[in-house]
Amino acid sequence: MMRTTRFYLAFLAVISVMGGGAQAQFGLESQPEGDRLVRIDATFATKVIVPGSTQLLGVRFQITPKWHIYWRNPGDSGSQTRITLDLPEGFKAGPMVWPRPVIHATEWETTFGYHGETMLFVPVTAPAVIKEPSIQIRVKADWLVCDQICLMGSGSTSIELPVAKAGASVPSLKDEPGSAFAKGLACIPVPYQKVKGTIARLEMADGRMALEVTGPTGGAASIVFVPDLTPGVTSEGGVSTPATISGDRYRILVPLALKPENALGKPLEVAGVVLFGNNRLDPAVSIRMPIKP
Amino acid sequence: MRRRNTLLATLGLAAAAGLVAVATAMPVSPAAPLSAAVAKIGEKAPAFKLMDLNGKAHSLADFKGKTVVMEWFSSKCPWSGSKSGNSIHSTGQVAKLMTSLKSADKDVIYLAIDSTARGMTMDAVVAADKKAVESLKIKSPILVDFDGKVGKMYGAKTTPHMYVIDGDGVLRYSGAFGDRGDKNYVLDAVTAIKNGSTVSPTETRPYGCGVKYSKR
Repeated sequence: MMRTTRFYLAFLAVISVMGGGAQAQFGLESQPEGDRLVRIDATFATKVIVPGSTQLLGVRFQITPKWHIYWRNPGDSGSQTRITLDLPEGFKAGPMVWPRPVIHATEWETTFGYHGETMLFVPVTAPAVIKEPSIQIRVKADWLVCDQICLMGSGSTSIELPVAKAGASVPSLKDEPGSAFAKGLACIPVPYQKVKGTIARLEMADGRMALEVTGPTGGAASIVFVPDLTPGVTSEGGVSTPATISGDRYRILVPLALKPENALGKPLEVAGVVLFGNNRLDPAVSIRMPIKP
Repeated sequence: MRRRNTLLATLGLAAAAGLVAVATAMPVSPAAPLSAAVAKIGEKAPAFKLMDLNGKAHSLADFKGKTVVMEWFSSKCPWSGSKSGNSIHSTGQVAKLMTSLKSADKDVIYLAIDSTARGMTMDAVVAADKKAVESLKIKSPILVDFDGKVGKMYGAKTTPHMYVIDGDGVLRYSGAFGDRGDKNYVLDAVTAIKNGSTVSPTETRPYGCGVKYSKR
């Protein structure tokens, strides 16, 4: 486990950005390094680590204009962005928490991802007892970054946090509305059960299963369902499904093809996000429900 | 919960304003990619005839009775024929697969197909592929699908995008090279076909660079 006496350096330790600065002009010939097209830094939700607690680590990606990286379901092509944490002994990382993607549609393909800036999150659980006065979390991210061409890239950063007493009450950046951290959290889709008036259900029509989602439009001009990768369950009729809007409500009907032989040993489920508008700051609703064949 | 409230407030705000920030939004109309794709699992694979880098013609019909593995390839893609820590060629994954495939079925045929031609001439595609063959020690023939017709018939979306066709010419697998770990779906499919057992999975989501079809 890492030791240090430099507690004062720990506050918001947004440290060490790998790669060079954003570079504006890249031609096909210049073959830029994928590393340099994306900059990362990391922020922990609290200034200190409280033993036994779980908090989010936010990894901000700043992407060179015109280029994009990918959501957990990249769509027709691409590859999901990955974050790997090197944690002190006894610490555990949870599954990544993804902000809503934006849809990137071309004549050729539809993909889901991020451009400009985004923050991905990883829950970190500290052990009940930490002997060291401070700890270090090393963060590595890998991405496929694409424009007219695709390049593999990676970056690393680290964050150092002093250890507080167990049970200590500490403020969280998620409660500071102006912080990049809180703004990043605001881009996380809300479970549909928590959005008043939104209903998601599986229905059978003509012997085929479909996901139906209805809810308030919130005034959005475009509403689209974007599926997660759910092995054995695919949405038919395209990689995304637009809603029909009637008055102040929308309806999305996603015909599903069930192929248990392609489930890769996982339980069948349908999952995805409903995107209101196509700006990263626009609202989104998440859906996940099991399917019993 | 604050962030939930933030989002819900955004929904409400959007209603009040009558729109969300669509001015800066990217187009959301879904593309109709590869709508001409006719290849379907369990059905006869579309016939094709393509030239390799040395001008030799290869026709699917030539391989009747043999299992054929096809790998969509691009010399420009870091998952495929461009040197990188993730390239299935740079990392030796294809070489390893070909060895394993031969052990499973000594008669198996392995073809790479390059449909990436946007902004390139035929000569440029061939030259780039030849360079990749040399630097990555690629053993299989690379067939050039310059006008993209074969790729579109098969619905090839990414490099790599893998297909397995059995000796009767029936498409048995389409999708990813593997699970990005030790599991290789292509080897599983070829082994199952050889043993007369059920291929599973038959379809997975491929990953990699989008195939940059020619705009011609």
